[in-house]
Amino acid sequence: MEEKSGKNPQKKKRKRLVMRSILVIGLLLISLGAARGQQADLRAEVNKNTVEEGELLRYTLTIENGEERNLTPPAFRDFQVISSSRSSQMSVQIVNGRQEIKKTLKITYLLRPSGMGDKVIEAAELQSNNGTLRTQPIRIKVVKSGTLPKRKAPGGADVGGFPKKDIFLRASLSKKEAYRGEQLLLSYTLYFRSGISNYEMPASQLNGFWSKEVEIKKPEVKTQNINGVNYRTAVVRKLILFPQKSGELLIDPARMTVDVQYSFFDTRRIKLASNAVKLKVKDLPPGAPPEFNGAVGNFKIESTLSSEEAAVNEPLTLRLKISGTGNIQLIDLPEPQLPDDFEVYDPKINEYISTRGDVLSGTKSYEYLLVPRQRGTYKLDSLLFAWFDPATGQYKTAHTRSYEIRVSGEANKSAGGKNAVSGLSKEDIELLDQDIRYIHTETKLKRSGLSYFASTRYYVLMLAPVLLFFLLLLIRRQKMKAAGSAEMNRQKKAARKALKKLDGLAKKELNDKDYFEAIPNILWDYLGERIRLDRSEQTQEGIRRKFESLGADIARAEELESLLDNCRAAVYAPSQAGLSRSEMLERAKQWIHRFEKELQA
Amino acid sequence: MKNSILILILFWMAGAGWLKAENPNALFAKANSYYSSGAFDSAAVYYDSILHLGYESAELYFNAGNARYRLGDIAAAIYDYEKALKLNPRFEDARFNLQLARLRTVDKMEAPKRSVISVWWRDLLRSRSADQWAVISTVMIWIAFFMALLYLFAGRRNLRVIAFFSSLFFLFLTLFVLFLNIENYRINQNSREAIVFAPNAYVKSEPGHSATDLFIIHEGTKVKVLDAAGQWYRIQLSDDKQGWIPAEAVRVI
Repeated sequence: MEEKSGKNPQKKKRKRLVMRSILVIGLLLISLGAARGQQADLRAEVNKNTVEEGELLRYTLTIENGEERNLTPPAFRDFQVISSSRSSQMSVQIVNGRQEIKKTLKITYLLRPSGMGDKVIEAAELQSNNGTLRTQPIRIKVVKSGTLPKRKAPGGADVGGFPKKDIFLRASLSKKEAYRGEQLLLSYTLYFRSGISNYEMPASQLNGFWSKEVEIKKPEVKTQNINGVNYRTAVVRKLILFPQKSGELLIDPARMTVDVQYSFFDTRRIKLASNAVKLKVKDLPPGAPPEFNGAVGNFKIESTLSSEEAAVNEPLTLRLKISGTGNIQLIDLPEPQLPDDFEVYDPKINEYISTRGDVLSGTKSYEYLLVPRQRGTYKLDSLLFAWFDPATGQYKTAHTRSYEIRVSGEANKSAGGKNAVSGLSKEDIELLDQDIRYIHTETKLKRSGLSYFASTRYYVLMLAPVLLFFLLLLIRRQKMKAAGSAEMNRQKKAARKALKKLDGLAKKELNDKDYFEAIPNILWDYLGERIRLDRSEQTQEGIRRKFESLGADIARAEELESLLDNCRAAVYAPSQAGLSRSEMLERAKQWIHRFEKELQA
Repeated sequence: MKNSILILILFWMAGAGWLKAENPNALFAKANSYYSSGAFDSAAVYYDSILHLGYESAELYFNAGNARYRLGDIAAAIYDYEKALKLNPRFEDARFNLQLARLRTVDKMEAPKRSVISVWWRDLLRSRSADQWAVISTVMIWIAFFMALLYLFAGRRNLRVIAFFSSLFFLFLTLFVLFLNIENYRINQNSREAIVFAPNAYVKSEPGHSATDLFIIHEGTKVKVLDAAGQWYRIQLSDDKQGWIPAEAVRVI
């Protein structure tokens, strides 16, 4: 019997429009003629069967779908008619898609019985298209004044029309103001004076509420005095409401039908409407804790864990329980946060709800199955649950205890175990069937902590070649220096030596041929020592090349060539020799001087 | 039980100086024979005793790792294989067994993509240990030296030219290897690595048990130790995640 609030308003509007147009058509049909009306009916009622002498009696004739002109009212032989009044009513009903037009005419007579004893109100007759209708004659007992138990006149009850005030339905809320989500009770109380044989539950649309029916097995009938009139009351329906939106909320009047038994034979069906009820719904105050998810009421949270010790793959049960009063059916429990090493299955949810004491209370429990997949020590943090307590107007938070779960055992006995396969690459999977490689039996054990890098030995071995290299370079340079100075000396001495040799040539007793052959030899020796002229270079080209590389003037080479040619000529053709021995010697000496000068420049 | 008694006896013997007299090579052979007969726990104890004597070698760590692997102590096996590879980065068998042992750990993380050059450079640096690089640089510099000698004292001109350039080449090679060596040494000094030994450990946002839990790591996972504060290490995983972990949960390689 739960009603979700808020139907589509557009749909409702359209429905109402259709209804209205049907009503218009119905009225048109009525104006076309009552002959096409429904079955006629005639009923007669009195307000009481026993009256005191002189007391007034009300007699009502109800004509349905009939005309007053066809009515023959009773003769009222035993009564005096004080007054008569008429009221008519037309209603359109749609039954199984067909409209029924009901025209009701009520004629009420106020009668005063004449005399005492048993009197009879005769039958009334109505001519209708399906024959003559007759009411039963009604017997009235007139007793002496003062013999009936005196009732206090109920506030206008016997003046302002009988059925309206003798039975009514009232809707009431346990609170005029509530927070959004706060529970409150809506009760429908039936006030009545006659017996009730049957009734239908009052119903109205509850927009903006979530509701829960409070079951009423047997309505408890109480007595209540209102303005001096004793009413019997019965709570016929109770609903626990949870407002879902804030602001002014209006609960429309509820409608119900009641079968009222006025006498043993006289049972009439009455339609009732309750009053409308207003409710002011306040929004929840700001400052809700982050864990708050709409719980309003008063709650308690507990948790139990089957064990804090577990083996791998051995399931544990975590039970979370929330109990209390409030919108417990609308709230979700916090979810436990567990590492990936646990498989957490969807919880089994149990709910026990009670409406005892017209208050919605109960427990909601979540049962989680946790399966540890790895060994280790894991924390299961405490869970926070927050709610709003409308009694104090504050938010409250409670938490479960935290746990430390110790998981023992081996996750995967072999490398090929199912658990090990997750998150592996293709190459890894190929490795799965392989075993580790066998131990090595050969090794060179070293003192641990000894590193070659950054050791003295390393520095020595690294620096040694550098130092050695520079040392050797130094030695070589020293040697070269020595060798160089020897060469310089030799070069310096070469000219002196050659000049000395030439001077010595003059003192020697030599023939022309030897004399002229000696001069070139002295020059060759000189050039050999002075500019390292090889024997292979003792040609015209060799000399020129050498001189060029030394940067000497080519003129010197030409002079040397002519000098040598002259000597050669003096040896092989003495007759043609143009120069004397001393002249030749002088020229050779002069050339050496010039050449030395050139070299030193 | 049997295992712990054996350890006790060995420690006592070590304390008494008995083992000092023992040849570590003989202990190694003994451990190997235990291993081959399937007595992995005894083998592990003997391998440890060699380490306690102050000797080490890549093969010793490798064999000890195998014994631990057989005993199911994956974290210790990974630790030993890493040790072996630290001594000899080109130890193929150790690399292979390490890969197998890693398959049996819980945390599988992908290293983030790095540029080809940086990967190549890191691989080059790590292809040899610091000592191996040192040996290479020593050999290089001596070759450069002999080439220089040849240049200085060779009679023939052609030979001297060849000697000169090859000496220069080997000198540059030496400097390059020396640079690698220093770089390798520096990296090893700056980034200490550790293996998680606790079955699992909560990595915290800051040192201290009351700090926020960031994630969980499990035994056998290799982490980089970036920093230390009291009994806490700041660590980095291969997927670059960082956090603080109690020092007792890991063992530095």
